[in-house]
Amino acid sequence: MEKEKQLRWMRLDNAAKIYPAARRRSWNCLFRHSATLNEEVDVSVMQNALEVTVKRFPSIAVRIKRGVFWYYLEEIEKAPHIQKEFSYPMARMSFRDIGKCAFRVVCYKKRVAVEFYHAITDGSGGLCFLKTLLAEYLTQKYGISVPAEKGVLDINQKPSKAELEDSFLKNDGPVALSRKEATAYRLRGTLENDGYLNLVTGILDAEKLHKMSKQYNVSITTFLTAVMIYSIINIQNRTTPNKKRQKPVKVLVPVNLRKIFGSETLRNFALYVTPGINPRLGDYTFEEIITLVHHQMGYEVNAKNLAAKMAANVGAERTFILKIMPLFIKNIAMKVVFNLFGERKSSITISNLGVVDIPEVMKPFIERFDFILGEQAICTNACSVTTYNGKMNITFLRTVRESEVEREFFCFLRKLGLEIKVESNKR
Amino acid sequence: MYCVKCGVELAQGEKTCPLCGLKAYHPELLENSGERPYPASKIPSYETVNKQGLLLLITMAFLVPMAITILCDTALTGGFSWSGYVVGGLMLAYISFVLPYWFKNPNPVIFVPIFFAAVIVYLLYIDVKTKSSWFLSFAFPAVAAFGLIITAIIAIVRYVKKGYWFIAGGSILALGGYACLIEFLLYLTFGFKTRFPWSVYPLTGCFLIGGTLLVIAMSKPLRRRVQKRFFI
Repeated sequence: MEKEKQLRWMRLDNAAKIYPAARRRSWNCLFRHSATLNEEVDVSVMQNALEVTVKRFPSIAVRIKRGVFWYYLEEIEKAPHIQKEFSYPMARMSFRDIGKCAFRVVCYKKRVAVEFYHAITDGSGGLCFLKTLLAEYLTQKYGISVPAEKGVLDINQKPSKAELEDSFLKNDGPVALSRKEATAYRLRGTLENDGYLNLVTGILDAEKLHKMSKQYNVSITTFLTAVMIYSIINIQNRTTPNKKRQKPVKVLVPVNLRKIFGSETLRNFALYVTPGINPRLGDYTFEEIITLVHHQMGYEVNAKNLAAKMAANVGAERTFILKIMPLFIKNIAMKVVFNLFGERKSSITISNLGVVDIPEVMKPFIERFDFILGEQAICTNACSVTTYNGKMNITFLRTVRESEVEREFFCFLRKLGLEIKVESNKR
Repeated sequence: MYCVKCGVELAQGEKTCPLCGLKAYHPELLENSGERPYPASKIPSYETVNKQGLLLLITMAFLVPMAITILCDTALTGGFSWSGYVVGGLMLAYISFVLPYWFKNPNPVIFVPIFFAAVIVYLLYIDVKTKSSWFLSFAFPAVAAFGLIITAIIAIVRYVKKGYWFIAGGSILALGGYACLIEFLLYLTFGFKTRFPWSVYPLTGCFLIGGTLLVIAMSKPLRRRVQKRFFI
């Protein structure tokens, strides 16, 4: 009992609150960062490195517990055991497992991966954890000393308050923006009956893609989003040829708020925008789509607009009636809202992590970084992008058999003149 | 190696193109072998819905009304009188609809006879309780014969897996015969007698249908024609 008192605990951050409520028996929202080393991972050293690293991340090395009114995070006493890889990434993590430890570390040959439950952190926080873990591993294994820079944290330092804060509560705007949006076209397919997750990674030259997007005067994320919208429009034209019955094609793009609001938090601090087009208005060319996406992003991704979006979410959390509702009622209400609105407002998610930068001394040891967004509740596909060492990995994870989206997507990039190498876990 | 359809380069170890499914093949190049990004045959097994918990709940739902009935009966009549029928009926329902699901792969060849046995026991109870004498001469042979026919059909369908035309024809003939048995038993026990035996009608119908099916079963061209005309 006394020991339990000493364990550090904290509230879930504002964005995290939906995940435990929206969970299903067969689904929990996960994401994964992995790094491929230049030689096989020494699991025992990695386990030691993990033991050290978890102490530095009290907001990530946690499990999720039930309170009467809210879920909360509780520090874990010991690092979890390193697990073996399955035939696909992000094998289901049951809520019981999350109640023991909300992330897991998986090793396979040269690759080490960390799979996080999304309620504990977001892509940036998770990447910081993986980098620090790798730095500690390399220090223990090869005796190199890694400076605490570029996302690697000093293992001997105490976690600062800024790292553990819920930045949503600090940066919300004075007025809430309505969350009303049009329902988007939904991709469909034949579900794998044993829950197999199909993964296709396209590897391409980041520099060439960067040049291409510069030709259109847009950012890489905008460019990829436009390609995705274009691909999904093609699919919709096939499945629903009648223009009048078509639905808007929208892509959910997470936005990292740390730079915009100057936050250092390691917990969730991201919002999203959903650029898209309405194909009922006519046939759009790729150039038109790019222009539309570019302007929609410009209109939505700015501090004022995002703060107003944040205010809507934080406002709900601060409502007194909602606060005092017992957790199980809250869960039902949140689940209904999530099922009605959550994933129906976008056709697919593209999460672009950006360029992964690590300290120079680590670079010779690490060949590749991957970022995979986990299976979604309703959406059949998820897309995630990361760049390291001049190579861009565009990863598609899908719960269905048909590889339609990735085929349209990569074939279009191919038509634009980009070289692509694909790998998969196809059985 | 490249996919000729999509134009993308395939990583080492890709046997087919992950995008279009086309086989990666070139007559002059070696087969695309290499390390896959994930181990091929390690598929996690997941815990499904806990069946036992649900079954326990259903069992409770059966037990509660049973207990209430017995309590009411003993309180009202001071003994165990009419509640026996209710309890027996509930037990019969439980044995037929719930009991098989306690097992992993319930075999109908075992559980169908168990169901008929339970029906027989329940009828015996009613017979004894009402002090009648129809059990041995009517209820038992009627239920047992029907149980035998059904069990035989299920067992043949389950284990033989072919000759469905024969099975269908044979079962219909058997049912025709069963109608005759029922009429005979009714006469034996209750003395029912009509001027013209009614069981001739079902027997004739079953004989015609069953016979036709058997003929179709025996003649291959006929079978083909029927299949051609009646496919769904």
